[in-house]
This record gives sequence, structure tokens and C-alpha cells, in this order.
Amino acid sequence: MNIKTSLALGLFAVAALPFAPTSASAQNMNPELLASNCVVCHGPNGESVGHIPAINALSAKEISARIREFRDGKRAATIMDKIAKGYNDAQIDLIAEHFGAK
Amino acid sequence: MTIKSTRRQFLKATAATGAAISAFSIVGCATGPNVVVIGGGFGGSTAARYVKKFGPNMNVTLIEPKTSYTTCPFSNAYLGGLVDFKYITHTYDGLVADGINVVHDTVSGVDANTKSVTLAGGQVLNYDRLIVSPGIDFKWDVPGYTEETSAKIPHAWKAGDQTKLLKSQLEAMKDGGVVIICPPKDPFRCPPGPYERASMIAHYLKTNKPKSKVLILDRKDKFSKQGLFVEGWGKVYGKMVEWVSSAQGGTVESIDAANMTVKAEFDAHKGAVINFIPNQVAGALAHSAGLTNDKGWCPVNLSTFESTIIAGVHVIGDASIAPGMPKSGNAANSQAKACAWAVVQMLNGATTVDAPMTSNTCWSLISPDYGIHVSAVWQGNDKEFVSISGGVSGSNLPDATRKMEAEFAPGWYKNIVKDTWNV
Ligand SMILES: Cc1cc2nc3c(=O)[nH]c(=O)nc-3n(C[C@H](O)[C@H](O)[C@H](O)COP(=O)(O)OP(=O)(O)OC[C@H]3O[C@@H](n4cnc5c(N)ncnc54)[C@H](O)[C@@H]3O)c2cc1C
Ligand code: HEC
Repeated sequence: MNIKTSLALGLFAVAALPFAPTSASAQNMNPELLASNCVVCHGPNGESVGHIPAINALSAKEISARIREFRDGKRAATIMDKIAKGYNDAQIDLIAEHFGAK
Repeated sequence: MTIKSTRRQFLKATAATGAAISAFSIVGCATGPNVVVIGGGFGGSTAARYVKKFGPNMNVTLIEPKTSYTTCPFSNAYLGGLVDFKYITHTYDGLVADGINVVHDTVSGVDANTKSVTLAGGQVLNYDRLIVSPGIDFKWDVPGYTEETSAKIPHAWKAGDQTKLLKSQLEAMKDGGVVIICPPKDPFRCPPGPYERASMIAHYLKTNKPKSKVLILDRKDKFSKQGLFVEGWGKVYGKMVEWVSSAQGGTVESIDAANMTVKAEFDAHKGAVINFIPNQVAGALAHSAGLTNDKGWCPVNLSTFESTIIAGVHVIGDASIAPGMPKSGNAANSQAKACAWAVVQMLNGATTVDAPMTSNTCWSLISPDYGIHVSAVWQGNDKEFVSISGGVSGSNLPDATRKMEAEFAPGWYKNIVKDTWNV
């Protein structure tokens, strides 16, 4: 996905979800910085040690689909449902691309 | 920074950690700006690693007196007998391997005019930008409780010997005794911490000294995850844990260490073990460097974490004022990343940096099989961090869910430790 579409999606998400982040600023669209808040649970590069699932073996497509399911209440969760609601569609795709198995 | 002091610095660090010289030759080649980080806790260690990650040319120096760091997170699990002391103690070898100059010394002065810091050992380091994450210090504002008293009545609110002391007292006490915990006033590091501690001590007592009791004498009328803690205590420990709010007379007026007595508003309580947690302010260095306001905490620009008092100096973690965010290790880690990003952008010439997104999750263990959480994602603006999403575990969830959360807690711990110290 190119940046233009991401931004368009981002703006669309803001319009649809009143509580979604309103800023499409550089750092809030920077994949490495966005993903850095996931690794405290999922491990550096998504290679979790311990009981929280690793996400490094999933494809970018699978990650972005699952986060949307968490966000929309369609996937069982203890905590990811809350975290997923913090990010708009464009951000989810950038993060998924960052972790997705290459 | 002169070449000479750089070399001396990393020779010293190499000697201290026994790291391979080859790792350091990379550092020697970092010709970019000097970023000095004070404090190798959650905030400082994360900041050092992420400045290097976002700006590989940066010459990053971390100053921390201790050669190993014992985390407060999971120190309550240590008190409960779930993990040993080694589990919560980590070296700085991982930072050295990342190409960070680790100097084990204490900063004795910060000079914003010459952009330099002085170490207790006499060394002077120049910085282009300085990141400060000194944690907290105590107010000692309750009569009878001083630094000396803490050798008998531990606070254990900075992990290390204090934590070991509290554990040895729990092990030495006779069955049937009362363990008194006195949580501090807001704001303090780790809002759910005192109540997780009550839970983990209750677990130890239930297993080893079942006639004993935990009495919480609080200086507040409400606390973090209160509904969930009260529900869990009732389910797991029955009447073993008792919480007395400030309104019910929980406020401590003085401590009588000789008689092991806590004088609260209505009554005096005798404890077999007393864990008094003092009220808190930013770490001493923040005060001596002139970074604090009249309340004892450090005001910062919420986009960059640069001090609003002293330019060029950034403050993160417990010491900083980040309205909306709690003082936690996870929050310090998240702030450190946003700050590292801003510092690298600014050193690369950016004049403005937008407010960041941050996040935090604190799991607490009520028992080894019973975990609960509070979690949030924030968007900063120029005044506060606004919560975009978040919340706490549901009430009256099935045992299997509580157990799953109890397993996620150490999962988080191992991963955040890896992210923060690369160990
Ligand atoms: C019992 C307990 C349980 C907790 N559990 C959790 C939890 O489950 N999850 C969570 O997220 N948080 C938890 N916390 C909170 C967490 O420990 C703190 O919020 C976190 O340590 C803050 O990081 P910091 O970098 O601000 O300070 P610190 O981690 O305290 O680091 C400060 C460092 O600065 C160094 N320093 C100070 N002065 C100087 C100087 N002059 N020169 C050089 N170095 C200096 C110190 O030696 C220290 O290593 C808990 C806290 C407690 C007490
Ligand atoms: C506080 C810890 C925590 C944070 C932070 C976190 N996660 Fe999760 N994640 C979990 C847990 C726990 C699960 C398991 C589902 C549950 O119980 O909520 C999970 C599940 C997932 C899954 C599904 C994995 C699978 O095997 O199906 C994906 C994908 C995921 N997270 C991605 C992310 C991304 C991307 C981020 C950053 C935006 C993130 N997570 C941040 C704890 C976290």
C-alpha cells in the first residue's frame, strides 16, 4: 500500500471512528515507531518468548486481518481487543507490514 | 567530547563488563552527535537502545552506577516465592553489545551552559542532547520514618537489598502475625504495585503461615484496579487481606520503629512485619539539576519530552510529568521510544516534532493462577496524553481467563526486559 492510500484510509478511519487518533503526523505513521509499542509483549521482531503469541511467523495479511478482528470484537481476546482499538486502518497495515514474515 | 575521554570511557566500560573489544570498535567509529543518557532503568536503557536504533550514527553513552539492575516489576512475585532474585536482575552486557558506551558511575552535576555532565569519579562528558531518567526518590515526610528506619522497616520501592530485606522478614516471622503495608499518596510509581504486593505476600502467607494476615493502611480512598483486587482477594484469600481506606482511618500519622507500630488516624497497629512506602518525588538528580517544579516532578514538552525548564535536556519515566499516563516501567519504555525518536529527529535538524502515541499495560498477580490487567493506548497533544482505547480486565471472569492472564504477565516481563536491556 502506498503512503497516499494509507493516508486516505487513515482519514477515512478518523471520520468513521470518532475516537481514532486524529494525527497523521510523521511519527504516528512511522512503522518502526508504531511497532515498537507491540514488542514489549510480542518480543523484538515479534519473536515472543513465553505465553504471549509470537507474531513473526504470520504474514502481513494475517496480522492486519487479525488486528481488525480483535478491534471489531470478532476474535476472542483478553487484551488485544483494547489495544487494537488504538490504531486506525492505515496504521494497522503499516505495523502488519513491519512484522509480517518476509 | 574529546577523543581521549571517549576512549577512556569505553575502556572503563569494557573492563567493567568484560565485553569483547570488537563491539567497541563500532562505537569508536560513531562520529555523529553525542547523546548522553542518565539512568539505566526502564526509561534510560530503552532510550539508549532506541536512539542507536533510530540514529545508528549517534554516539550514545549511558551512565548508571549499578553494574546490574533489579527490576521492581516481578519483585512482588519474588516476595511471593514465585521467582528467585536472579530472575529479576539483569546486566548491561546487552547494551554494550548494541554499541552503547556504558559507564558505571553516578552523575554529580549537569551544566546546561557548557552542555556537559560531571560524574562522581571526576569525568566530564559533553552532550548534544541529554536524556534523564532518574526514577523516584522519597519525601520522608511521615514522622518516625527516615532512611535509617528503612533498614528495619523496608519500603522495598526501589528493588534490590530492600526487597531482599522484606523477604527475609516475611520468612523469619511467626505464623499468626500481621504484615502491615502502607501505600503512599498519589502520584507514585506503579499505582497497582502496593495492592499486588499485598496479594503476593498473602500468597506466601497462605502457603506457609496460614494464620497470618495482611493489613493495608492506606493514605487514599481509592486505588488502581480496586474492584478487581477486592474481588480477587475475596475469592482467593477470604478475610486474610484487609484494606483500610484513608476515610476509615488508614492514614499513617507516624511510625514507631522501636515498637514496630504504625500510628494511624484512629488506632495504633502493631505489625510483625511493616512495609511502609513513602510519598514520592522525582529522583534526586532531577532536583539538583534544576529540572523539577514546586511539586517535585519534571515538566516536559509532551512531543519531545524536552524539559520546559532547561533546553536540550529531556526527562522521561517516573520523574517526568506526562498527564494521563501512569508512572510505570512500560510507560517509561514507551516514552523513551517517543523521546529517542524526537531526539534523533532534532539532532538531524528537525525543528518541530508532533506529539507521539504511547501505550502501557500493567498486569498484576493476585495469585500464581490469577492475573488482571489495566491497559491503554494514548495520543499526546500539547497538554496531556488522551486515552484512545484501554480499560481493565472484566469482573467475575472464569478462572481459566484469570489463569491465562497470569501466564501473559511473565510473557510480558521477559519480552519487555529483552526490549529494554537486550538480555
Ligand atoms: C513493587 C513494584 C512493582 C512494579 N511493577 C511494575 C509492573 O508490573 N509493570 C510496570 O510497567 N511497572 C512496574 N513498576 C514501576 C517501575 O518499576 C517504574 O515505573 C520504572 O522503574 C520507572 O523507570 P525509570 O527509568 O523512570 O526509573 P528507574 O527504573 O528507577 O531507573 C532509574 C535509574 O537511574 C539511576 N540513577 C539515579 N540517579 C542517578 C545519577 N545521579 N546518576 C546516574 N544514574 C542515576 C538509578 O540507579 C536507576 O537505575 C513497579 C514498581 C514497584 C515499586
Ligand atoms: C500488553 C501486551 C500486548 C501488546 C502491547 C500487544 N499485544 Fe498483541 N497480543 C497480546 C495477547 C495477550 C494476545 C493473545 C490474545 C489476547 O488474549 O488478547 C495477542 C494477540 C495478537 C495477535 C494474534 C496472534 C495469533 O497468533 O493469533 C496479533 C496479530 C497481535 N497480537 C498483534 C499485535 C500488534 C501488531 C501490536 C502492537 C500494535 C500488539 N499486538 C500489541 C498482547 C499484546
